[in-house]
Amino acid sequence: MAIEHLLYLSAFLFSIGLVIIITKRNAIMMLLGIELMLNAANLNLVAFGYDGKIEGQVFALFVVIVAVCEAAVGMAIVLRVYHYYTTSVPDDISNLKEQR
Amino acid sequence: MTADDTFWVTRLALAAWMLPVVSCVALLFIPSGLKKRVPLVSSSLLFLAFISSAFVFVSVWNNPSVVITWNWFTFNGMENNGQLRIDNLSALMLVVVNFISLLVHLFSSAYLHNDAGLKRYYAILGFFTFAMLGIVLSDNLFVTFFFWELVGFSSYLLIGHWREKPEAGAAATKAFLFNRIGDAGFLIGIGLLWAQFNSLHFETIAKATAATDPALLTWISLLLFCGVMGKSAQFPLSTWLPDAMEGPTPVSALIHAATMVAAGVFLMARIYFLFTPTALVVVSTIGSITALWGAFGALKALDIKKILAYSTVSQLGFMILGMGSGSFSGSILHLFTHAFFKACLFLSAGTIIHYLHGVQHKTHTHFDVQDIRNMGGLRQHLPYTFFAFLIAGASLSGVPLLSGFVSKEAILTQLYYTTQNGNTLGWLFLCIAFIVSFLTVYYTFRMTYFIFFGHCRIADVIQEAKAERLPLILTLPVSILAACSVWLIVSWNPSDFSGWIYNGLGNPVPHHLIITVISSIWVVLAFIFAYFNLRNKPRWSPIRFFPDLDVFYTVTLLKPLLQLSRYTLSFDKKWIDGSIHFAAYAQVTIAKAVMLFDRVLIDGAVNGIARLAGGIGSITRSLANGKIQSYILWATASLVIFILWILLS
Repeated sequence: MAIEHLLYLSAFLFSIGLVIIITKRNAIMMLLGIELMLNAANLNLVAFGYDGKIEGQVFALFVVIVAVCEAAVGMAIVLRVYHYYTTSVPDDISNLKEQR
Repeated sequence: MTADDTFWVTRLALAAWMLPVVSCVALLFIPSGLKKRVPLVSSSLLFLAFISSAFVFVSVWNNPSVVITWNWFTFNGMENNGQLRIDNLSALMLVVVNFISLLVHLFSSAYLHNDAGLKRYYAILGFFTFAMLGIVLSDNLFVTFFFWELVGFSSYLLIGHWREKPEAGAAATKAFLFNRIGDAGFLIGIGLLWAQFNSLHFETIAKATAATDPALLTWISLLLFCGVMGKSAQFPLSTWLPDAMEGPTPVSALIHAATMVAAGVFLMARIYFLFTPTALVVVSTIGSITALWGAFGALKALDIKKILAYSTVSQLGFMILGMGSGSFSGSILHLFTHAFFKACLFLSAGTIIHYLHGVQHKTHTHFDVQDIRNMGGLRQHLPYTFFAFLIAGASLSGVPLLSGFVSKEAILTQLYYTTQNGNTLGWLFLCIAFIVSFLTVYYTFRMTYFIFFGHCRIADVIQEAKAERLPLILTLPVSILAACSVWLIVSWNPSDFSGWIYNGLGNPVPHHLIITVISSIWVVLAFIFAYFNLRNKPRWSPIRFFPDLDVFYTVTLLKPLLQLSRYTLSFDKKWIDGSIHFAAYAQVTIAKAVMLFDRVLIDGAVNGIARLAGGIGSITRSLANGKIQSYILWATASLVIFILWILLS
């Protein structure tokens, strides 16, 4: 199994994550898409350490931990948004757009 | 005359002159609530004017004349003086004009008592009198010309008094235009006089004429005579006078007797010293043509006022013919007597018309009240008018014992003396004068016969109307004028014209018995002829060969002129208007092209830039739509593009 296959898989995963972020209407699902993209990056880190280098795997572990924190923070924000707007659909929360 | 007399004569003459215009101005300010008082105010002012002029006449007659000079205006450093002269001639006219005007004022108050424009009528009547008196008193040709035009203007207003009638307007315009034609020559003559003598004062010119080229004098006098021709309705400018009958009848009386047409003859007497023998032949020729034309016109006319108008034309021609005899005294004497009997005839005609109008009004019938064929036998219904008409008519035809006979005799005698001085043309003029007086008898007889004798053609209508007696205000002026038509007004001796008026006029000729005898027999013959002619022939036989000048003018002058104006009009429309329109169209077209250029290119560029900026703005704004996912999408897409760009370059 050549490294390219892993990189293809990783790119594939990244793309799926990106598409999920863009297309899904729910903020939770967007967080899930972000997780997928992080994991695609992790896969790359692990894949580039296939010839015995340990740094990639350690960094991947580090990323997993950060991702957990990030997911917790993200979930908290989504919860707050849900409380505030009584919805978690990003399309309905368009405060970034100039008000008319 | 003492200095004190001169002072009073001057003041009274000015009063007699100014009171009519005071009446005119007073009427302008009188409130319309006092409309009934208008004739009273106006007539009393005229009465004062008449009294003053009578005083002036009595104190000036056969005394040295009074000249008033004042500095009128200074032009170009040159002082122009106006002069007034009060002598026998002007004092006589002053009285006549004021007297006739006063009677016309009185008569009008009954004749026009419910006319809507009564105030305007009286105001212009006063103004008319004032203008005529200006001519009478003037001793300066420029002053004369000034009032000459005012007379023309006010006659225009009076002839067209009934402005709702289109004929009246046309007649007024015609009178005005015919006077303009004559005045053109008059004005040129005045210019020549000024160029020659550097003065328009009659006395100054009279002194200088002796040293002047007679040919030039002939031209000047004939040009000035053009003005006389216009004002006094001489051939070929005579047709306005019969048309002027469209005005109210008292106005006709005033115009024919004292004011308008008398002005020409009067002026002729004032400038008589200018006329050379050659010019006098022309004057006499014009006068005789006019006299004959007027007489034939009076024979043909059927309208009572038109007959009188043509008779005035004829009598004026007779006066002008008499002017050619070398002395103006006879013509002025005839003007004087003519004023009374013609005013009387016109006012009588006015009475008849007024009476028949009343009859018409009561019985609701319709017939032409001025057509003599509709009258007849009126002597039973209007005895006073009949009597006055008879006296005045007899005076007009020159029956002995009446003033017309005396003055006509004066002219005939003067003409007779010219022939004695070896003037061969004089015989011709004398013959024409006799023919005219014959015709005068004929048409006067015809008119009187038709109106007052025979059976009444509208007897049943008059019977039905039961018209009441005429008011005194109508009959009084007529009676006074009839009384003024007897010989006593001219001289003590009914067969001798050289009485107290004639001898006061200057250049008198002695009385000649043979003319008196011949003209008396001549009148009797004419009466006999007229009586049998009118009796045996069918009632009205219009003179076939009477030249209708209006038709002649229409064919020879009016139609070519109209054709010419049509040509010039079409030229104007086609070329002048065409080029103006073309220029306008060209400008509009250029302006439209410029506008198009502006709109499309300049505005287009500005708008295009604005729209472009707006479009770009709206595209970029549509990206920032507030949706987080689309931000992500665009960020990703631009990242991809950026990476591709990096990788591919």
